[in-house]
Amino acid sequence: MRRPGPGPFSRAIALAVCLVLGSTACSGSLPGDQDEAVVTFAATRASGGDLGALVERYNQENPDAPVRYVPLSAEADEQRTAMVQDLQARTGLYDVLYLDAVWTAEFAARGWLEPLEEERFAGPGILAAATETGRWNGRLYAAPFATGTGLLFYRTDLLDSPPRTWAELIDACAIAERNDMDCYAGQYMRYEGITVALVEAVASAGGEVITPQGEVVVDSPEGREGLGFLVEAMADGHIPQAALTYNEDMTRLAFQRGDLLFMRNWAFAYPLMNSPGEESVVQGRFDAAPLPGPDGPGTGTLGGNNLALSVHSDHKDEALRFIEFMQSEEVMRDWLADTSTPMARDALFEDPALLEEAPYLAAVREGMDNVSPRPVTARYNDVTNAIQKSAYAAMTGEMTVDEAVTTMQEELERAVRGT
Amino acid sequence: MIGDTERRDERRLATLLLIPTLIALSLVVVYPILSAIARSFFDDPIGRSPTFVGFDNYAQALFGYDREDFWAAVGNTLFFTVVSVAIETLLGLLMALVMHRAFRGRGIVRASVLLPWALPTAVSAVMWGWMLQPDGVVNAVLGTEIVWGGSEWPAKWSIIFAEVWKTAPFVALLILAGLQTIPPHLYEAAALDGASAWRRFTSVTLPLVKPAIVVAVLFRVLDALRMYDLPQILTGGANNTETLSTLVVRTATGELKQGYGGALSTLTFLFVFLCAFLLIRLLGTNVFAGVKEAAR
Amino acid sequence: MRTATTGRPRQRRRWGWENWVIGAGIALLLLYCLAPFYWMVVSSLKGPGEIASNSLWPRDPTLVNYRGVLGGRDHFGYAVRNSVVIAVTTTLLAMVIAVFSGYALARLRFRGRNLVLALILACSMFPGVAIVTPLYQLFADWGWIDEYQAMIVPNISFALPLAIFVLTTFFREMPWELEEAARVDGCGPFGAFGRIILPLAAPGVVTTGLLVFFAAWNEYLISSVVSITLASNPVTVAIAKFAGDSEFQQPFGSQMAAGVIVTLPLVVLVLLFQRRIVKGLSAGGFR
Repeated sequence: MRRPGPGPFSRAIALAVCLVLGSTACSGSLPGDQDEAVVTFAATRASGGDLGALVERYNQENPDAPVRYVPLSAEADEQRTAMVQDLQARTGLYDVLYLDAVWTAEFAARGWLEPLEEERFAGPGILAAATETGRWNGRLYAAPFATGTGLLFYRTDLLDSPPRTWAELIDACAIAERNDMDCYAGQYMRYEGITVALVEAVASAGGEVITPQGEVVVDSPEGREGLGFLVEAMADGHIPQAALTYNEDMTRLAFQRGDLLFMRNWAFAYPLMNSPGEESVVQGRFDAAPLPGPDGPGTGTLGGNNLALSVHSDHKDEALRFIEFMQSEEVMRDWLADTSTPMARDALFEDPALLEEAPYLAAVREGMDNVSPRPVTARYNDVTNAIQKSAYAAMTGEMTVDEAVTTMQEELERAVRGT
Repeated sequence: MIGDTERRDERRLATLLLIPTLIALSLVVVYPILSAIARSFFDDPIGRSPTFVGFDNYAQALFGYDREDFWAAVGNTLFFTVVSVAIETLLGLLMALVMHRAFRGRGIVRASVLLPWALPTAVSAVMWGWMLQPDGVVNAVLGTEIVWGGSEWPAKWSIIFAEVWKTAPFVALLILAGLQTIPPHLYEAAALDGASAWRRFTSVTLPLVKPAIVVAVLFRVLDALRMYDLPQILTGGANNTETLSTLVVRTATGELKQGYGGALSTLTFLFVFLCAFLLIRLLGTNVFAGVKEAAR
Repeated sequence: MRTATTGRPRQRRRWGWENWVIGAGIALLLLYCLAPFYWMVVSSLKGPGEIASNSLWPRDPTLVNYRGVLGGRDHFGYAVRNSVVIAVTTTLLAMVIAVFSGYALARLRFRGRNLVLALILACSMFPGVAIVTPLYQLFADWGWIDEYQAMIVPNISFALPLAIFVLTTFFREMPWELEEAARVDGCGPFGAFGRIILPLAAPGVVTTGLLVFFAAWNEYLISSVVSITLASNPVTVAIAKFAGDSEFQQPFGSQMAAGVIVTLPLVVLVLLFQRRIVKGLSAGGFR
């Protein structure tokens, strides 16, 4: 295995070009460059905080087995591609992988991940729901790290309490209309966001898209009710048409501009909308609650990121030590305080100091008791593509709810079977 | 008259001069293409090694379960290509004619016209995506409330608009270079003959600049037929804007079906090849004509 | 002989209205090309709070985005260096190779000429995205991952078809009898080509060089996979790694600032070379 970083040939080319151009920017090495690193940690730059600083802290405490942090793209698809290329080619450039919760099954099924010891990485104190996202076929392949679920953000200056049911939410839309604003929006662009929205709606209605045993059951009264709620809200104008182009941040910006009475989003929006640096008209005028459902609290979709070990790693013991460090209560607490990301440890949801800083943690914790993971399948990309296609078509009115659910069922069955 | 030895020398020199190109192309392009084609005859299982399936992957795309996706992508790709290359060529010609004229400050004009092309597509796609938000600056300036990414035609036109904005300068630059090789005395002669400006344009400029236009159009068509970034970033393939390249990426790097993805790539290649062949037949390019005798 | 005249007919001045129409056309053209750029520059000068607003002028102009991009957070200076190294090397090597091939294809007679041309063109027909995985495998075997040559070599290959076609087209239009004459006058074959034909073909050669440079500067597909660390990331890959302060926050301000930074060198380049593009022929001064 070789470590990433340009070798002598590259440096020679660079030197030659620099000599020719007489450029002054050509000297010096990068800050944090670990030439003697034995473990490489690949993770997105867009994790919400500075993972490089965490790695540096680890290296100070563990000078015998330094870790190098390789920042990956901000786009989830590209992070996955970068890791997949390395794993497929068996290059072994990356030892520790920062995985989206939905990638575990695929990576494990393809034999790219080393199984982890349950006691060591999913012991007591780790949130059970988060641990589930690290499992495949009954074994643990990824150590839970960050977690989270969908929240209902609402305007406290216009409402006394958040709606608990879909009917209450739709009723409250009258308030939005009186204030000349739109009522509700989530992420309905055709990307992973609409998969999350669909799974949330179907689970809230008491159904499932794919059972843990791998059976596709979305074509059911609950599936229709879930998708029907979103489609109807869109058709009635309670969800603005613009939401068809919203991702997480666009939804946040719309709410922050004061365009929305309700918003479905992840916890990250909370501190941003209260930040004095932001041009936010809702500062101190909103709160977060668990999502509503048809006749009571709804079911949020589980998000999060886990830490996994590549089978091609040459330094497995050192890599596991680093994962253990990342999962320690101390590091997770600091990461939460630093980035406001809910973490996969029970204790951190009850810490009074943290709760004061991040009051939305209570809503997240409440939601975590009743969450639904996205389908756990080795063919996750096929599955999410099939969901996105039909759900989006139903939202734009291109398909009826019936057609969408039937098509989705058919395509999902085929996706799960594989080709 | 050319002797046999001279012929042989010419051949030997030609081989020598072409070797670097052939090496560079076979290393980085031909080898991966061949390996993708070879892979396209195998299936895409998880947990066992791929088995040979013959032309199954091709059949699946052309008339099997996924035919709707494939033919929709063919249609969209063709539509994007025809419309955007047509607009780009006209606009590029116009830009080149403007840049060709002598006037004060033309250096600035030339640089400005080329700017959109200098901007990396990844950045320009993000920029257009942001500007075309429902609450973005395009709607603010136009005074409209169009959800550009929310239905078929606004989505398609925003892709074409961003594509044309970015690539018309490419066409302009190539045509401009062609204009520069037109000897000035031809214009003077035409002007002395009393030809109008339009007549000079159609009878002197256009025929002489045609080889440059053909090369520009040819390469724009080849590129546009493989369009990826803009639809991917602007719409994610929603609202019937999936192109062949976004389909290949969704399949090969998203769903990790390299066999089926390889088949889609090969079909794309054949499709592009057919388009290029027809285009060359239609426009004719003097590159493919035989070598002219040195003495004219 | 270098002459100052561009030799365009002067009598056009007679039509005053024509100049007005052309002036208006130029203004429209500039508006069309520059308006999105204006928006990019304005956005890059807006602070995080203002970035989502549609005000056509930054209310409170700030360089915070530029500081973030160039400073400790993104180390964008390294990316600019990497891109310069990669794009310059690509352009130089690709142009030499393409001039060789262009000469052979425009000037020499040999069997299989059209086959070679078709083969070269065919290399621009396969979806680039499908090449990435086999190429990664190949470069991984060679230990090229995260090395400059893993980007330079593919860049050259991708640039060659266009460069060769443009150069062949231009070379074919050249008055080769002058080369013959020079050869007779005692220049070697390379001397004759270099002294007579290349200067005449300068608009084509410089234009091709710019096209190759721009393409290498903007390449993303291959680089995003074969370039791993900040030490080798070109600008396009570095921009894709920009991140907001929070998990889902879009780093729009940084992206726009980076867009301005990467476009500036190209503007300078165009301004420097645009005289060459235009003067190529008049420098020859005949025909």
